[in-house]
Amino acid sequence: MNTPSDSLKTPSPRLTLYAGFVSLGLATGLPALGFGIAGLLWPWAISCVVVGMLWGFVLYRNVEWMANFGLCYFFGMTTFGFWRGVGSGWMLAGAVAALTAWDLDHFIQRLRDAPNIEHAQVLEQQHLRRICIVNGIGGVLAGVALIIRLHLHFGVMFLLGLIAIAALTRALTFLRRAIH
Amino acid sequence: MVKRALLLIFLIYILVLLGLASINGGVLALAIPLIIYLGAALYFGPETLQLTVSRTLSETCVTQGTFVEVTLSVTNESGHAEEFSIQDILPPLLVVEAGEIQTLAALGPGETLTLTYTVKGPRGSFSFQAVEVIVSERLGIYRRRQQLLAPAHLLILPVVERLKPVTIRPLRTRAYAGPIPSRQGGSGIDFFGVREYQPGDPMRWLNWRASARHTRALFTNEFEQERIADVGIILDARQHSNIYSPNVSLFEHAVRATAALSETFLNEGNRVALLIYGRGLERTYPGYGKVQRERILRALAAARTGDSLVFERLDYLPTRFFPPKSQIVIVSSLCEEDLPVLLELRSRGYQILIISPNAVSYETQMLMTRTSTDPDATTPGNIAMAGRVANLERALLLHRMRRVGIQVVDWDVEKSLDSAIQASIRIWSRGAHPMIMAL
Repeated sequence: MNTPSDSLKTPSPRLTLYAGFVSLGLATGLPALGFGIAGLLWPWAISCVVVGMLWGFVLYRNVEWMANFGLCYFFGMTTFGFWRGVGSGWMLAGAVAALTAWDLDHFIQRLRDAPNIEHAQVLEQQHLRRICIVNGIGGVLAGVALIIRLHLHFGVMFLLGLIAIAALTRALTFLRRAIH
Repeated sequence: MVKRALLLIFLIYILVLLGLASINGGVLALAIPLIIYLGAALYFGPETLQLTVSRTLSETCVTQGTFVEVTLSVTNESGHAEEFSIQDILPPLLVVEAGEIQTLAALGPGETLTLTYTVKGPRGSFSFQAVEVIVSERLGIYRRRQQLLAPAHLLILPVVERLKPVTIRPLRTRAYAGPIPSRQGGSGIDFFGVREYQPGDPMRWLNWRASARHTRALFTNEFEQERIADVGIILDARQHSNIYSPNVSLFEHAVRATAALSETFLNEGNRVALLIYGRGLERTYPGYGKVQRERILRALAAARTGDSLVFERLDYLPTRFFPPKSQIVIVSSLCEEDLPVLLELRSRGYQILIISPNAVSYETQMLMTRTSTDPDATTPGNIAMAGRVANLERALLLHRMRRVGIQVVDWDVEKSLDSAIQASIRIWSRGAHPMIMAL
């Protein structure tokens, strides 16, 4: 498995970088387009473009906090878009693209932090495959959720919300214990 | 990676709460991709792996300046690791010269990952312990960290400088042939005396002049037997006698000198012992030959300066460790308080040779170098003055030792030890008081 020719030192994750820029472009362009179509060019569409360009600039320069900021920003923007009644398709697609860009940004940093990688291309391909499947499923399910209209009693919704919060807290505790 | 999971959970919380508060299905739907992402990370999370790790070193005992290749092999006995990162934890002071101590890969069941790198380090004893392994799923959210033990030991011995033979003349020698005049008559090179002829003596040894003065007796020349001797080397490892510098500390020079001297004496066939006096008493019992050389070098490799209230002065030197009237070689930068002990050792009949790294000139040079780079340091004039005063004190101390027959080599560590010893030997052979030399 471990032949010297297969390992890469200071790898250049080109495939992941291209995918990162593409998803960043979608994360920037789709909400901006949605805001533009809804007549909210300034400041919302413009700010999406500015933040997207800034993130794109540092994507190649390994700035860890920018990915986290970008994810929060674009999810904030798309939440605002939903609230203002901007096209939900644009917002949802933009959010999924932002999540993909965030994941790929962190993956690029992990690859760069490793001084030596065995079978770098295989790792990249497997990661891209996983993120496409996971975010594809997430996007489809979210799209279906937007289409299907369920009328639930507030109490039921509140209970579902509580269950969701409890499950998340449980997941966080589990992750912390597993990591430490 | 907990931060990333925290961020996702935080976003999900906010979206769910906002969605419920605003009764906006779109906002709730935004949380779904995040939930699916987090769920996938948990679902594909790494199971506990059974890993076996082995470490091999190309050499376990090397001389300073030699490269050592370290090979680490990790085998996955069960389970699949989607992302597998292995990082070796290097002992302090070892430096990686080639290769990497960290790698990232995917590791399936039954597969082996090999990490190879080359290290170099200073004199000392280095212990490799654990290897850190981080296993995670592809999204990098759920990670398991493990430390696997892969112990190995590396000993880096000091460099041994070759010296010309060092002339010593202890009062007592051992029974085996060697290079040291034994103050006893027998076969040898140097004339020792004349005795009456005994049957069996070689005819060429007959002293015809003495025999001509006696009509009824013949006389034979006697030569001084050359034997080996016991040599005890004491390395002063007390903290206050060491001076640290950005380059090589004074103690490192002392260690190198000790290694060179022990090699020289052992090569001549002498029985050599080593005592490292500082934070405790580290003894290497007397022995001969290459085995003893290895023992001494290993002891020197692990030698460190240290402080102990008990061993602050030389008062507690274990003289029983050194055979009576043998040769003692002390490698120490010396201080005033050491004089009474050395005088007492001399009075007991030990022949003492002191190799003294000149701490005054060493520190003066270091301070002079520092003044050129640090504007707040003391002026060169003051340093030179202080150096002269300290040198005078040192010269007086060495003079008092020489007066009682202790041989002292005042060694400027910037110069070669061999040249310093040989220069001192020439002075001793020319100007030494016969009474003192005969003691």
